[in-house]
Amino acid sequence: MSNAKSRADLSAAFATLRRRFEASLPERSAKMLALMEQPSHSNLSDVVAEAHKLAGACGTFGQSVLGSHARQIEQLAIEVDSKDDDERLQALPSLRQVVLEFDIAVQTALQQVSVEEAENAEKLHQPDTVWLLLTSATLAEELTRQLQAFGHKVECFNDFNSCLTRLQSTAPAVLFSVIHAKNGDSLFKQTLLLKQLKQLRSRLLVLSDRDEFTLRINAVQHRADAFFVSPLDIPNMIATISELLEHGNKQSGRVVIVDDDQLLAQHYALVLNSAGIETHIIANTRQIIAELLVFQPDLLLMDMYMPEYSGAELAGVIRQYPSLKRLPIVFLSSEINKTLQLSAMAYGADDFLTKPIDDAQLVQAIKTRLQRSLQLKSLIEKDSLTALIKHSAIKQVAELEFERSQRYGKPCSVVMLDIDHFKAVNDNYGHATGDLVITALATLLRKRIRKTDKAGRYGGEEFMLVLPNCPRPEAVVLTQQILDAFRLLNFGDGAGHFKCTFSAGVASSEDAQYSAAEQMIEAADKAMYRAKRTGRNQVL
Amino acid sequence: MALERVMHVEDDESIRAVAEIALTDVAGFTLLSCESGQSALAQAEAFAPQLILLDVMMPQMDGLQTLAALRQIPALAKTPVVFMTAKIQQAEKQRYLDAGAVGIIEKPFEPMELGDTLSQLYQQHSV
Repeated sequence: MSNAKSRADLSAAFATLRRRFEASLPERSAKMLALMEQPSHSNLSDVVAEAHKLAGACGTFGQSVLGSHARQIEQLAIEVDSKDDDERLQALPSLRQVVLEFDIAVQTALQQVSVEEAENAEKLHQPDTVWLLLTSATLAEELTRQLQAFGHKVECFNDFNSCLTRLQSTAPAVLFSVIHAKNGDSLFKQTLLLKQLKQLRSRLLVLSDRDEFTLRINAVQHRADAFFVSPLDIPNMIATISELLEHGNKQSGRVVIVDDDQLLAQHYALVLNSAGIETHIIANTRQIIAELLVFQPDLLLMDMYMPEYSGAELAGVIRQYPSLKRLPIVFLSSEINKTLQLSAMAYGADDFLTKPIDDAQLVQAIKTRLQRSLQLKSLIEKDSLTALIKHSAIKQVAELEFERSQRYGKPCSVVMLDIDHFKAVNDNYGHATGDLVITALATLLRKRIRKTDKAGRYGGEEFMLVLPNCPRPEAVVLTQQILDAFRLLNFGDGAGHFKCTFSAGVASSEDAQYSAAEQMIEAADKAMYRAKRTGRNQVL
Repeated sequence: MALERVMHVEDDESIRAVAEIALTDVAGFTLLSCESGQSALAQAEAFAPQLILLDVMMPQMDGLQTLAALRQIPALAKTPVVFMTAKIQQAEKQRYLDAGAVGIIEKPFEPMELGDTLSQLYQQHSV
């Protein structure tokens, strides 16, 4: 006798069956309840048959309590069925009661299962793993290669079932799946698979062979994070995955709170902090602009009625500043008069939350608005190919950090990077490959820099790093490390692999008496061109 | 001769699925899985099982009826049959043994042991 599969595979396979069985229980129990509505002789025999099957199956799937419960139904139903009409009528309520109790026992058992599963989810989740469920082997191979280049672990699947089986022993950070499998099955019909992905906190990205509104709605209903249409835009997909995986580790936004009631403001701050949101309280309303410019919040939560100035007035002032025009302002007030609310919004507020608001509602309301705000910010400020900060925004960051370094007397550095012989890459391998090289470097930059550092796409194949509180030698070491990692990456499709390098120039605020960030950027740019002239593939 | 070819007749899909893994992946048997007595009758002769595992309570044709019909096929007249049932009453048990079963496996069963149990029953019977 051969053991074709390992014991782990087998127990995973049994676990899948068990889950499938458990998932079918509410329906089977409901079926018995429905039969009990019209307890004819033939319906009662159906109850006996169903209870009999459940009695056998429940125990086999580890639900022995439910099993003996079902056996009780079976025996009682046989007994009731054998009675004459009058006695049967009398005995029916007790049978119905037992069936009802079974139904409740099923719900309880399933709840226990889901609690256990939630506890398991933590253990199973693999933060850096991407699963691919694709119909094209070529696409799967190509994606595997590229995702691995970014340090993701990749597993490939051919069908929903094998994916579900694997989910019993481990869970990916992201599942990238086709909507329609080879055999015509639809992803959106895999309720068990989708449910478990959700429980295991795995993100879902879908690939559709057609762009259809109902499919897009389905994707939203199943919490898919992105919807791609064939032929797949690979660089975009890789960038989405990288962004998803990185976002998970980041804080979920910054909120400034303005309320004349300090205790209440502190309470809001605590509640939001516990949800991972960074907060800052402004007590002196006259300081509001200065503090907003320093803290750079993603959302402003403001009381509408304050003794000195009203929220509406402050909103109006905020909107006078171009850099604060986009800041979402949410009013918090006990005002329930719609007309007054609307007139307040005419001053430039975006939304209204009515006091009293309970903690969970506050978190939910702020989180949703923050998410939108961050998405918009990223669309406006970030480069669509690389998800790095755009030219104008990264220059602003450099200016801000340069000023800070002057004020606090701490060094900051700027690095300019340019991919070597990039034109040749585009000419020889096409722009899609060129884009891939750019996304690869962008992802490396994001991964290697500190949280406080910023990376931007300065031009076509030119990048800029802004490194606050970082003297020159450290900036050089960091850039050299990034170069070492970058030149290890393999690019190209099938025909021939190739590798890329970049040249980089570093400038630090300590290097010279710069009077403005612009000069420091220029110095870094010059150093970069010197690196190019003297052989490329180096950091100067 | 060791047990290799097993036919399983069971109407409950979830039990069939478990038994399939238990009897193929775990036990290494060649398995024919049927969802009804009728389906078993249609395929049994061609498959030529060494042992038949029969669920007792099935709609339309139950286990005993299926057994009687299978016995009409000359090639299967002596093939050992094992019943599988959730019932545990002794009188019931005796009825199945009288009908010619070589053994009775009670549900719930332990999937990892199902193959071994069948092998043992098969060995005892052939001796």
